[in-house]
Amino acid sequence: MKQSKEVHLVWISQRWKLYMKSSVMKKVGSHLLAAAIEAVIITLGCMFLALAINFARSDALALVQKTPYEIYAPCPVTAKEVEFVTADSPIIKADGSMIIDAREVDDFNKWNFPKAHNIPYDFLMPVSESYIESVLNSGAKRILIYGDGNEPDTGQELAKELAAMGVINVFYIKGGMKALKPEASHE
Amino acid sequence: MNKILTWRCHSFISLGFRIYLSYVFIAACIHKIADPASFAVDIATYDIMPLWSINIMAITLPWTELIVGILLLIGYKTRAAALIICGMMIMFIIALLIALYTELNISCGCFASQGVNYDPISYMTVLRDLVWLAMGGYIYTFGEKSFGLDNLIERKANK
Repeated sequence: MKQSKEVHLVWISQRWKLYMKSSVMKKVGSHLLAAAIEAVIITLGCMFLALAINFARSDALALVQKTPYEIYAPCPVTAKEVEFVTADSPIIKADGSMIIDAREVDDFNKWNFPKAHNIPYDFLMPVSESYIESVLNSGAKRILIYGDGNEPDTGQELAKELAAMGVINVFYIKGGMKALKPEASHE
Repeated sequence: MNKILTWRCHSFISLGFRIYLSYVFIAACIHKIADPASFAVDIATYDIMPLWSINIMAITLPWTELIVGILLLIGYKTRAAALIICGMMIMFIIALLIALYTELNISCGCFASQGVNYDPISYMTVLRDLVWLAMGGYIYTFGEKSFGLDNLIERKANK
């Protein structure tokens, strides 16, 4: 048993020597020490240069930070900029366009644009996931949203929120309901 | 094996890698040199380094990146520069892996002090650094013969 262990050790040491003598290791290892020494010298030189320049700067950074850095937890993006279309844009009535009314349910029931879906926008509450799913499963090529047309416009805010959630091809109709109403076919 | 090692294209490939990596490192150091305070915050967000070392690293690392980038570009002390790059890449990869393991939702801070929404760390960042590490290793092994000051100096010495 002891003998076979010794044989194994000899075999491993022979293999290791052969591997170290191989052309790849020769190529890598032949200049390693010299390159490592040069690398250390270059690194030290860079550090010295950096420290010297830092001391010369008017906005020099203190070498040792005394108080811990205040690291703020990143807030998730809840709104993303979106483009608008005007109320007379032909894409509003084009095939593949899904129209969303961002106003309150009561306002939607009083008047709505033909084939519009109602997703009431609340400035304080995030949009319900079931609404998002209905938008994503609609198969629409583009989403056009109109709101009350006030400042800030609920349609624009809903469009920004949907875009931040990853919904693409989202636009808001500039002027909202106020701009669309004369175009509407029914009231 | 010797045929592979003496392949003539190695010098061209390593020249390409040298130019690419020098561009990467010079581009990466500009914002860090311009605003070391922001870079110090980027280092601090990794929550790995002790507080006393953060500023020293924020001051010295960008200049090392710049000098190494220039050395690679001109092909002077190529092997040493490639070794430094490999060392830095190993350090960055370890930092990234620790940050990913501890599920830190932070920005890489590699090319600009952007927010996490624009430059988040991921396993793709680790993969990118591994590719750069491999390039550094390739330059170390084959870079000396490619066009550059090292090559010119060696030719002059041989004459």
